[in-house]
Amino acid sequence: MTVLKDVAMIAANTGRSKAYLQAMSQFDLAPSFVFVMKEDEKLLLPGQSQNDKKKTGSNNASFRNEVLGVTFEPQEPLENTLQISKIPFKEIYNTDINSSHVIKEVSSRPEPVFIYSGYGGQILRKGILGTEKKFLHVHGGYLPDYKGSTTNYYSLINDNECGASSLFLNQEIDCGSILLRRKFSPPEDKKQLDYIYEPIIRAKVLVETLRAYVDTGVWKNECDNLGGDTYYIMHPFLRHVAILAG
Amino acid sequence: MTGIYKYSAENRIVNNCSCSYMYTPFEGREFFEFFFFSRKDFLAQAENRISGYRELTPLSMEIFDNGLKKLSDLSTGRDIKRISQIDIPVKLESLNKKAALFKSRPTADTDIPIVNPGEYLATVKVTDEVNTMNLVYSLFKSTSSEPLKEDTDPVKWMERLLGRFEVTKRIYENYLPGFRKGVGAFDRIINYSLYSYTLSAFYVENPTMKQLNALLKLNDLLCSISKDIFQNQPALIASYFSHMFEIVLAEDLLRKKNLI
Repeated sequence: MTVLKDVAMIAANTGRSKAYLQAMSQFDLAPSFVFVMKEDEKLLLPGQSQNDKKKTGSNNASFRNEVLGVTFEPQEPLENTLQISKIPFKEIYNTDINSSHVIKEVSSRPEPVFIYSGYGGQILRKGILGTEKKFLHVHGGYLPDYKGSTTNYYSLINDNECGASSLFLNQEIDCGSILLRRKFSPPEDKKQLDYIYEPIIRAKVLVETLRAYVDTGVWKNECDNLGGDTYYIMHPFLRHVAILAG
Repeated sequence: MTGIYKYSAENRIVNNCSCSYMYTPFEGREFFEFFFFSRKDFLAQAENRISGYRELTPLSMEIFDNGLKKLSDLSTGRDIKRISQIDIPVKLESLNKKAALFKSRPTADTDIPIVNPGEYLATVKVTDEVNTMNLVYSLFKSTSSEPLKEDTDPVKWMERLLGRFEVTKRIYENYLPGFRKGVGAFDRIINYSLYSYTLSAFYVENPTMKQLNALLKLNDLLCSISKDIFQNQPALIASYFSHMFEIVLAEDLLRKKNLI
């Protein structure tokens, strides 16, 4: 296992964070430390599915997804993966990435880079960005063409494909320089885009980004991030079109 | 049909978090039926109101004339009876009769904003404080002139207002310099209805998904406050036509994607 000494992670109890950690483990990569933002167990927060409320893994192959060479078990609790991979972690009882509590915890760590995988719908504000850490994010969409929210649904309608792009976050939404980007075929079952397929393609891009860093020792930009369009959360009518169209 | 279209069930101006669009559930093909049923219900009630009018205010008349012309242009050569079962040629015939009646009864009072639309759009800058009614009315007027080209002032302002509405789910009475922070009332229904009309009329020939997305949300909001809309003549006329255009656009998309 290659431990990335200068890379930590902010994780949430979501499919995406699980997919990231499971994929890193599968490809022998590990952040040196993980903060797990814990939610109120009664609430279903943005980015969470019922899978994220299960306390134990299913141990059932029918729940396992193997797509594009990445294995993802959405019912596997985050803590199990962390323990199996022997990754040190700390639970933070706060779900807001911009809270002073989270900012203080992040500031206390020596790692200069954090993989960011918080709860859905949050934008990193000045406070957390002011910690002088770099936040590595994998956007669910092909940049710079598709910035903003639910962009893989837009690209399914427009181009019948999906995308994922890694970048370091700044104050502009999805506007940091692009480290790596990939296009992907649409999922076999488009209903699984939110909680299965997109976590997997984002995890795949994350692993490839980290592997390139391990191999070269630098965070190399693939291209700039100029132009494109910013999209807003998709209306359910269009979401149904994206899912049902062949 | 057993389900309901829930996205316009609650007042979306008062509660702009009502029935959030985040991670919405998949409801199968039936969802399209729920959607069209809800929109048809709004249109039927709106038509009922319009048929009761004996005269139109000048602003209502401008919207009515513009909407009728656009709808007539749009319906040429299209078969759009399938899911919505709305017969546009029949509607056009009825609306043309009403237009003749309205024109025979001019009203003295005017409710048209005191602004020169062409001049306003040519001079207003992002660094100015913007009065939304003046902006939306000027954009509306520009839809009745020649087709718009990219990178023109009206198109840029349409995009800016779209962004503000998408982020806040509201349209404010004024926007501070920078056109980011809205101030003043956000319950002026004419701003929502005339913007929805203008957006649909602007892009009805060839909308992007981004524009159609905003139009669907604007019309959810308008349906959610239908009781107020029915008391406001220009807002009702604008909402009526924006719903007609939306239905045409929605069906065009379903047809293009082989979903009908």
